[in-house]
Amino acid sequence: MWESETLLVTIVLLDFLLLSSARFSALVAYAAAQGVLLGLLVLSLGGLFASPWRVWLLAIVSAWLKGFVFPALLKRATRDVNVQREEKPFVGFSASLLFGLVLFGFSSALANRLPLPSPLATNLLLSSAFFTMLCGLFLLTARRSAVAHVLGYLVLENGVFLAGLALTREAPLSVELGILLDIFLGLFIMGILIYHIGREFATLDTVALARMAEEKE
Amino acid sequence: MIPLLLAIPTVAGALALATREASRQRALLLLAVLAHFALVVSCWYHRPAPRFGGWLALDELGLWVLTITSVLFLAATLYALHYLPKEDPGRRPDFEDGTLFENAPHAVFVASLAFFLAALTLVALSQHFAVLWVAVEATTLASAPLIFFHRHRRSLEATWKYLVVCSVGIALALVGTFFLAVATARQAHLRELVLGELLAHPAFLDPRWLELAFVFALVGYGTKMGLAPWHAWLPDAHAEAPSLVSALLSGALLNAAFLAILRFHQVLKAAGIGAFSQSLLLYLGLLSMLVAASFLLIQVDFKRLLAYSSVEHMGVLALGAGLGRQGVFAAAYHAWNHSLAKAALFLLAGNILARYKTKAIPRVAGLTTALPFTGALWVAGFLAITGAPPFGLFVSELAVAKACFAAQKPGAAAVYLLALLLAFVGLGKGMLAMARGESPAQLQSEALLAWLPSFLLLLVSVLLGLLPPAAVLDVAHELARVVGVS
Repeated sequence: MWESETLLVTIVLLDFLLLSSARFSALVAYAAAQGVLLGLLVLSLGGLFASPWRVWLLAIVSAWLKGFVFPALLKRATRDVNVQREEKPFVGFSASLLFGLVLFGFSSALANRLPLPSPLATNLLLSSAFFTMLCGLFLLTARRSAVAHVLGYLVLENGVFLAGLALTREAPLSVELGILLDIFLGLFIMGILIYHIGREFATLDTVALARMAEEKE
Repeated sequence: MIPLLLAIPTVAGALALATREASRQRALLLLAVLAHFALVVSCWYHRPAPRFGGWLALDELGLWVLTITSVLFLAATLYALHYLPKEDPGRRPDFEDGTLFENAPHAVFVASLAFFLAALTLVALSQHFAVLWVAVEATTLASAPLIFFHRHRRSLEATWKYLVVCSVGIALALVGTFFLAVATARQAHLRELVLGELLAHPAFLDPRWLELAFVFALVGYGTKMGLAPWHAWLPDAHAEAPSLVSALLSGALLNAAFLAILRFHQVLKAAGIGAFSQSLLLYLGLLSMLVAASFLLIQVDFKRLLAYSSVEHMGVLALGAGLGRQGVFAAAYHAWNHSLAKAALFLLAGNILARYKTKAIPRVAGLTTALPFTGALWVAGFLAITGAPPFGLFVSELAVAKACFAAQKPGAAAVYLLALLLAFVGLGKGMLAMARGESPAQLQSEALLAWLPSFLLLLVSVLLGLLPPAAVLDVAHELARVVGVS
């Protein structure tokens, strides 16, 4: 089982990197790496599942979508925007890192308190799931740009995927739902594409959008 | 029957995408909505058998929400027959900020409406918690293009906000669904998250995980329902969507999200911890009412005014569900009345917007002379939505107040009545000011289909207030018995 622990620790480290990076390209790369690791994690935990082909299918599809398709879509959506980094986030990057430590402590405490439901669930798996979800929520609230929000959603969704692995016994349910959520995310990013192609705004700063709307009233 | 209910709107949507002519697309939608409505009516006489291993079935709660949905789609489609041909397909200046914009393709709009109906139908039919989740997610996907029909800045922003806020909510609701799965883990034979299975074996459910599951589901689906403090997306989406879409969001979508919350509540009730979910619903309901009432008082945009009123009424529904069986009965009744009145008002708001080219309340005056039918119905709608007799809301709001006292919660009753009063003041200040005053110079005739749907909706609301049919009351009582903690 040591390799699944290594994978989980790497996923947590990537969460911290996501909290402390400003460049969109770096953020996309970290989220993509997390997606690939999730696929590997499914394989590493796979021995406990009933049917092996299902494990392989799930691992490949999730790694492919999260690791390659979504990052490519995001890159394309942001290609023509001249701003390529998060300017003036609501919470600064070092403060975010400190906040991340607090969130991590909270997640571990929470995971230790909860009764473990299944043989798959280790404290580490559960606490990584909570931590990744909280990091996603944090990115959604502490950043201003639409790109960071999509990434926050992606990270939140990675956390939900982990929670699904940790919490449900046989996983088919959680897994199939996770894939559906992925498809949803694909559409969601298409939304950003439309958003961008619309070219109504010269910026991806969501605060500027809201301010613009207010001024017109 | 159940497969047909889902297939008709889905197929109609797909066909609309494949059809070139706009008038044919609208005819397809009308046919689908009429067929759907006829099927739903037949369900009242003969309840369809469960399908797909019990994953899909129509119980009282589902029938209730499905009927509201179908009626509203019928009204909205009739309205669309008049509204859509009037919409100029070309680029034109936005009347608020002067920038050029154009509409989404007609086929996309019509197809999204049909898919939206299919998704809402699936919400009402699903007995499996995962299917329920998928269905609620599908409603988000199908309705986002509807909000973004007028492709200008504000609707773009509103759609963006809707997608982000609701997707996060949906992700949390999925975690809630996982927790529900964990709660069943003690017993190996409880493999599926089917409602009937869970209700039949309450002893095997772990209450700690159930409580956690409910909290996540409440936050997740509560976001979709527009309960405060997660209602941020709602005013923007309702204000920027075309009015017939606002009517469907407010009247159909919010109820569907409420149904999802009640499904979790049902499981908690069966496991004997219904008091926990009940008290959460009660406090959230009151909070939503107060938050909405305070925004209603300061609102200067009439579509946002109606949107905040929806937040308030969702608060009434949550409060009712938090008051036990009698409260659930009142809430179910209230859901019907609110949907009818609010949909009527949103459709009328569309007429006002088309005539005055503004959503600002101070810039609309003399509505009753400028648009006689719309103006008169607008005032009637005001009476309906604030709960004046003879409209159904009067009866159901009174019933919620009674349920407060019956549950021995005089504090809740006080807050409830205060919020209703504030909402009355806020809505009255805005809506009545629009009806009075000097009307603009040239008068225009009103198309029949612009006001007839609203008239019919309000008429049904009056009928429900004065002489509710016995069959409807029976279903409401049964629903209250199944959902309400006595």
